[in-house]
Amino acid sequence: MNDIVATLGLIGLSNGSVIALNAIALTLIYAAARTLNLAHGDVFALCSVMTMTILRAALWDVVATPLDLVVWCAIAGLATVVFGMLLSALIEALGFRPFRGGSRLAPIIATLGLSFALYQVSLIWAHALPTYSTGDHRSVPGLPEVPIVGVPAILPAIDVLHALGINSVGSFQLRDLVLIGVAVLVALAAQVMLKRTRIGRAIRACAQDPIAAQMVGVNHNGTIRAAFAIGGLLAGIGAFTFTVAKEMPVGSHGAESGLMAFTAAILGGIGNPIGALLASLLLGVFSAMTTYFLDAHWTPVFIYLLLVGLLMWRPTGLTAEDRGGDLNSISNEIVVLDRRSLLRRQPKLLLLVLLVALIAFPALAEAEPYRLPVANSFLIWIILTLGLTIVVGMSGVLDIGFAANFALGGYVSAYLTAPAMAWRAGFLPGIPDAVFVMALAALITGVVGVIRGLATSRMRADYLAISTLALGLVGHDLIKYLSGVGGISAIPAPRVLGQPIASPLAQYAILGVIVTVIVLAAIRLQNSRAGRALAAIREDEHAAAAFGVNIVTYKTAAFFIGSAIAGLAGGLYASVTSYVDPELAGFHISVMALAMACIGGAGSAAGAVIGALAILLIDRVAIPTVGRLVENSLYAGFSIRELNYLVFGMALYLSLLSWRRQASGVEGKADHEPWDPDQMLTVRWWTGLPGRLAGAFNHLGLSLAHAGHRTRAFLDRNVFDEGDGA
Amino acid sequence: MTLLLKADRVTKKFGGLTAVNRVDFEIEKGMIAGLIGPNGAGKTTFFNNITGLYTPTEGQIYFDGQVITGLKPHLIQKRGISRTFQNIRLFGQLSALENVLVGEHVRLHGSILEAFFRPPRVMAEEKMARERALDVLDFVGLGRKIADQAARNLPYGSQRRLEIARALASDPKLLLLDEPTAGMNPQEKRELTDLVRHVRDNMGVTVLLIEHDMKVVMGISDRVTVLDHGEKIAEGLPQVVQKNPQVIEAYLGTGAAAEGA
Ligand SMILES: Nc1ncnc2c1ncn2[C@@H]1O[C@H](COP(=O)(O)OP(=O)(O)O)[C@@H](O)[C@H]1O
Ligand SMILES: [Mg+2]
Repeated sequence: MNDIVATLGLIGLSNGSVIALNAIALTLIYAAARTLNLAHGDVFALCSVMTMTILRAALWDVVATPLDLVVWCAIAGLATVVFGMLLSALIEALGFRPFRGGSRLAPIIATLGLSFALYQVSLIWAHALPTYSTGDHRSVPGLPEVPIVGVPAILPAIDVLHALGINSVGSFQLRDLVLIGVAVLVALAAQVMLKRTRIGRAIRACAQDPIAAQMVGVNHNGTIRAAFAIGGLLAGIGAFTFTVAKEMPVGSHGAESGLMAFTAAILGGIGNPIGALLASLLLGVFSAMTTYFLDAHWTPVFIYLLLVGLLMWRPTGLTAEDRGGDLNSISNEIVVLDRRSLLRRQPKLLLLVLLVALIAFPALAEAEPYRLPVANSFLIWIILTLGLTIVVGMSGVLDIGFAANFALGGYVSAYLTAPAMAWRAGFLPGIPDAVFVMALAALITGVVGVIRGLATSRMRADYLAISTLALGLVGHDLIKYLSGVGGISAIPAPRVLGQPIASPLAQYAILGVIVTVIVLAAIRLQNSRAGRALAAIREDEHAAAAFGVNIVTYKTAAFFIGSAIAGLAGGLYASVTSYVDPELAGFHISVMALAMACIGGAGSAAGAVIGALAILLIDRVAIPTVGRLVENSLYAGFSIRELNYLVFGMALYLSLLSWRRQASGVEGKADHEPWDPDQMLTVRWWTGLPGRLAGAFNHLGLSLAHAGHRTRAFLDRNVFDEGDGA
Repeated sequence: MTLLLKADRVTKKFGGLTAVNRVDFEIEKGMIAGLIGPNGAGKTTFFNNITGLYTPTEGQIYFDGQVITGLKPHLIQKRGISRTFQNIRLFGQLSALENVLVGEHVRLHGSILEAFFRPPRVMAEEKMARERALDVLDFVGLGRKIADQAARNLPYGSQRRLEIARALASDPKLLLLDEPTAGMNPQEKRELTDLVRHVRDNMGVTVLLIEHDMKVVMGISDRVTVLDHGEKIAEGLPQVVQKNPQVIEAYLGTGAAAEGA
C-alpha cells in the first residue's frame, strides 16, 4: 500500500512538473496582459513539434556520438525557444494588441479563434513529418486525435531509485527527474526575474495597476510584449524538455488540459511562479491518486470543479487588491456585439425573406431528397443558436460550454423514448408524446441552466469564460461516464397524439414552425421592457441596476429561456436523428454555436439565424465542395475538409476584429477612473487588479493521460502481478 | 421644508483606505445642493453608498424617512433616487430612446411572459412609455430627432444630457448628478446649469450635484458641502464656504486651487 502511494506520488510529481512548465508561463503572461490567452497551449504544442522535427531529422535511425547528441539538442532547444518567443509575440500582436482598452473578453475569443487556426497548423505540420502515429491524448475535446511522432531516445533509461539502491519503492526514471529539475529551475528563474529585474518589476507594476504603472513611466505595451516573449520562451523550454523526456509528445494543444495549468496558476497565486510550481505538483499528485483510486475519467471532473469552485469563491479576483468594492455584481465586460445596421433597420424585411426561403425550400429540394435531413439539422442548429443568443447576445453572459445544454436535452429525450431504456417500463407505458418529451427536455435543461448560470454569473469576464468552459467539459464527462461513451441509439421518431412524425418533410415542417415561433418570440422579447432590461444588463450591469433593473431576476430568466431552448434543440435532435452521444456536449459544438451567435451580430434573433446559416453553409457546403474540387491535387492522407479548423478559427477571429471598434470603449465606463494619461488603456482599476492568468491551454491532459497510463502499466506490472496490491 | 435624504455618520472603507469618513449630510425637498471637494475626496463613493452600489461600512442612510442602507440598487432606485455617472455610462448600443425607456423601467410593469404574449394593457403602457420618453428627450433639450440614434454615436454633450434624461425618466424624487459638466466648455456649462435649474423648478425634483467647477456650483446651489479626504470639512451657503480657509487649503493642497479661486 505504501508502495502504491509512493509510486503514485512520484508519477504525480513528474506529471505535475509538466503542468508547472505551463502554469509558470501562464502566471507571467496573465499578470501582464490581465486577460486570458487561450492560444498559449498552441505555442507549447507547436514548440514540441519543432523540437520533434529537428531531432527526428537529425538523429532518427543514426548512430549518434555523444557530441552529436549535445550539438543537436542545443540546436533544437535554441530553435524551439526562439520559435516559441516569436509565436507568442505573434499571438500578442494578433489577439491582444488590437483589443487593448476594450473588453477583457475580446482577447479570449480572439485567441480561441487563433487557437483553432494554430491547431490546424500543428495538424498539417505533423502530417508532413515522415511517419506518425495517433496519440492517446486529445486536448480540445471533440477534436480528432493529433498525429504524433516519436523522437529518438536521448536521455538514458536509468531508474534513479534503483541506482540509489532504493528498491522497495516503484520506478523513477532519470527523465522524470529531469522534468522536475527543469520545472524547479524555471520557477526559480521566473521568480528571480520578477523580483530582481527591470522587466520583472514592470510586469508586476502592470499587474497591480496598469494606469499607475504608466504614470510612473512603465511602457505598458512594451511590458506586455515582453511578458509574451518570456512566456513563449518558457513554452519553448518546457516543450523541449517535455519532448526529449517523453520521447512521444503530442502535437496538439488543448483547452481541456490547459485548464489544469490554469487551475494550478490560480491555486498558486497569480503572478507567483513558485506558487504555480507547488500547486502544479500538488495537482499532479492529486491526479495520480484519483486516477488510480477512482478512475482516470473522474480526474478532470474533479479538477474542473475545483477550478470553478476557486473562481466562485472569489468571483471578482483572487488577489487582495482585486477585492476592492462590494459592488453587488462586478464583471460586466461582455462580448460586444454589433447589431448590424441592416438587421437593426430592416429586420422585418430580412425575416420575410427567410420565411419565404423556409417555405420554398422543400419544393426546391424535392429533386434531391437527401437535402431535407440536412436542412433539418440546420434548423436544429438555428434553434440552438437562438438559445445561445438569448444568453450571450441579449443578456451578455458569455458561455463557452453551452453545448452541455444541448446534450442534456438530447439525453432527456433519449432516456424517455429510446427502446433500450427499460427503466421507464414501470410507469411510462409506450413512447411518451413528443410534446411532453420536448417540454421535459426544455424544463430540465432550463433549470440546470439557471443553476449553472447563477453559479457563474457574478464572475469577472475572464473567469466566467473559463468557468463555463470547465463546466461544459464537466457536463461532457459526466454524460460520458454516467451514460456510456457509446451513446444511445434507435431513438424513435417523435410521436404527437400517437402519430409518428417520421418523414423528413413532416419533421422539416414542424422544425420550421418551431424556429419561426422562437424567432418571433425573441423579437418580441427584444422590443419589450424585459428585453430592454436584458440589453441594459448586457451593456452595463451597474448602470442597469442603478436604473432599477433587478439583475438576478433577469439573468435567471435569460438563463432559463436560453438553456430551455437549447434543451429543446437537443431533444429534437435526438428524436430526429435517432441517436445521441456524449459528443453533443463537445467543445466544438459550444464554439460553433458561439460563432454562429456572434457572426450574425448577436443579440438579435435575425442575426442568430443568419449567423447559423452562414457558418453551416461554409462548413457543410462550401468546404466540402471546394474540398472535392481540390482534393486530388493535394498529397494523399490530407484532406481539405480538415481545413475547417483554420477556416472556422479565422472566421471567429476576423469577425471579432471587425467588432473591435465596438469592443473598445466598453470598459471605459468605470465610475472611478482616475485620469487616463493617453487613452491607451481604460481599465476599471478598482474591479480587478489581478492576476489574470495567462490562460493557457496546454498539453496538460497529457499528464493525465500519462498518469493514467503509467499508473496502470506500472501497477499491473509490479503490483497486481505480485498479488500484493490493492 | 421636509427632509428628503439624511446620511448619518456614513463611513466607507476600502481595505486600509477610508474613502468616506463619518459624513453627516441632509438635504431638504426642493433644494439644489452642491457637493464639492478635490479629486479623490470621496464624493463619488458617497454617491455610490446612497445608490446602493456600495454598502456603507458604518452609518445609516435615510430616504423619505426610511432606512435605505444596504438595499440593492434597483430597490433604492424604486424608492425614487436616480443618478448620472461621472464617466458617462449610457447603454451604448441601445438607441437614445431605449436608454430613456430603461430609465422608465421601474414605472412600467410588463413582465417577461407578457413580452411574448403582448396583452393590450402592456401594449398601451408601452405606447405611453414611448411618448413619455420622447417628451423627456425634448425636456432635456435633445429633441426627438435623435431618438433612434445609438447612444454611443451621440456627441459628448448630448450624451451628458441623455444621462440626465434617463435619470429623469424614472420620475425620481432625488436626482444625483456626478460632475455633469465635466469636459464641457463654458457655454455648454451654462446651458447645463440652466437645465438643472429647469429640472428642479419644473419637475419638482430635488438635486444633489457633485461639481468641480466652482462657478457652476456657486451659481446654482442653495447649499454647498465640502469633502476632503473623506471628511466633511465645511457646509453652508456657497459664498460663505468659498471663503472658508480650510476649503481653500484643501483645494490648494491638491493643486486644484486655480479652479476654485
Ligand atoms: N472600489 C474601490 N476600491 C478601492 N478604493 C476605492 C474604490 N472606490 C473609490 N476608492 C478610493 O476612494 C477614494 C475616493 O474616490 P472617489 O469617491 O472616486 O473620489 P471623488 O469622486 O471625490 O474624486 C479614492 O482614493 C479612491 O481611490
Ligand atoms: Mg468622482
